[in-house]
Amino acid sequence: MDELMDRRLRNQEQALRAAMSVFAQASNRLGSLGSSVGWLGPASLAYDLAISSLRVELRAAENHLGEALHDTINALSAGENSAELGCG
Amino acid sequence: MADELIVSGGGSTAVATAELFEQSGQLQRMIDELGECLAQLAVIDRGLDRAELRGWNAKYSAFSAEARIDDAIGALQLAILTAYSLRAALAASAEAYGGVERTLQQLNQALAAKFAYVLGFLFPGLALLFSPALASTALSAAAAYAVMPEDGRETMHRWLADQNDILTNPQLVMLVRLGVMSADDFGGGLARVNPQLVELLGDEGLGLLGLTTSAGLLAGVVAPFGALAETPVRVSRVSTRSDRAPATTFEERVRRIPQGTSQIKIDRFHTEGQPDRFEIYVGGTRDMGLVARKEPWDMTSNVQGLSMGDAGSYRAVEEAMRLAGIDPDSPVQFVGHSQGGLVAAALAGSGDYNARGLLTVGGVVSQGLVPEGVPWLAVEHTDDLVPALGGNRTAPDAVLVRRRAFAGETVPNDSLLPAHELTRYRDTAAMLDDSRDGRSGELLNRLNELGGNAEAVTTTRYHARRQADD
Repeated sequence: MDELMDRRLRNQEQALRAAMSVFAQASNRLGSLGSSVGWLGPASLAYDLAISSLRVELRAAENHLGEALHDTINALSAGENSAELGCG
Repeated sequence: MADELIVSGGGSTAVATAELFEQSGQLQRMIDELGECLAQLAVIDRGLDRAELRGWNAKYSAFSAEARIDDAIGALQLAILTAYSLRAALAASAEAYGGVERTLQQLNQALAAKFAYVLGFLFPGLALLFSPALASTALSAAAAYAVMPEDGRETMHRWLADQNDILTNPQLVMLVRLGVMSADDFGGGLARVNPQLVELLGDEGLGLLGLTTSAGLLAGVVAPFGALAETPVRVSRVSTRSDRAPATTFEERVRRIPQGTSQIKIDRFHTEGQPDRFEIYVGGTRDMGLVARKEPWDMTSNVQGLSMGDAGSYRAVEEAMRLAGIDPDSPVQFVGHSQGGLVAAALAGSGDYNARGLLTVGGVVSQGLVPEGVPWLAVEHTDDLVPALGGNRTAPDAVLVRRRAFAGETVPNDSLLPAHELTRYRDTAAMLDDSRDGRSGELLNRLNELGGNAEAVTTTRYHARRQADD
């Protein structure tokens, strides 16, 4: 049973790393966005606000992904420790 | 402002800065990547569920990981929605700008056509009033220019260059464009043709009358006086070298347009086992004289080319292509500046060649010469008077890139029409290369396909001369 869970958690770790790599690509594109596209007055402010909001949402997603990976690794190492101690 | 590129066409009705289109492209790629990330997280989420974890007596961190994955999915969904909204705002802005621009252009053209018709209608009366003064002034000026020694013409060009502030004004450029488009309406008024019929046959209607017929009429009227009359041309090879790689950017292509004695340059791309491909570069007008002399890149070729007549420069490029071994099946693409743009567009649209692409900068490209189905990118400065002589463009598939060369800058007066200079267009082409705009980027990829796998590149220059006095 432990072995199966261990395998699934390892798969999850790999899949999370792959998803985070795609996410990083998407996130990097944020740097090239800004109100230099010719917006004037309130439109410029609204556009900048929407970009700020996108930045916050992406940062939240990044944090959640990081935590998910961290917890997966923790779960794995906890399992390994239990196995080493013979209590799994 | 001077560094702003306005992109339109390419089969789309949107008009905006290259920067806006670039951001729109970045947002689309971001949406795609976030969507891919979301799909991967959904798969991960299905891989392990809480019931299984409970059954396995898993540690708290395993449950926590599942909860964080759910949070990430929620945050990603929100981010995708925001990115969609931003992209939609950019698209709506570009569409709205394009709509306003088209409406204003149609309105201006309709007003200019009516004004020109009335002017033409009244012209006989006005001519009676002013003709003695106008005729004597025009004849004196024409005679003076014709007999003027070279240094006298230089002086006149310098005087005109001093007026660059006016000649390089985008409003004047727009007026000239409208004037060119309304020449047929002026003729209709002069001939007392029913205004509805003129409108039906003209640019605003069926397009049977327009710039082409006006230019043809002009050539026909002045031909008896020895002006704008065509001659045979002779073409000879000037040099050949085989150490260059194909051009891969817009800037490189503009840099290769010949400026010196030779008017034509042909790059031949050779790959073993494949037919040779060719990129043809055509230079701009060399001689501003109204009477054909030795130089085929003159006003005679300009007017004949606009009227879809037998322009000397067109025949010269045809001959150079024949000398280069180009046949109707050889894949070719054209690059031209000013009159070179006119010739390049006419050749690409002639149906006589296997045209794969076209790049024109500051080209006087008449409506009737627009090549259909050939990928075409045209670069124009909004303060360059010369492209305005080609009238309005009606090729929705062509990508048009506009830029004001002297926005917020003092216009230099050391040369005539500096916004038309090839070096200025080179700067604009370099900016376009840097802009990573989707539409122009796609077109550049298509232009680069021709020489993509070339094993050898041979560049040959050609020089053409008229045989008027031979």
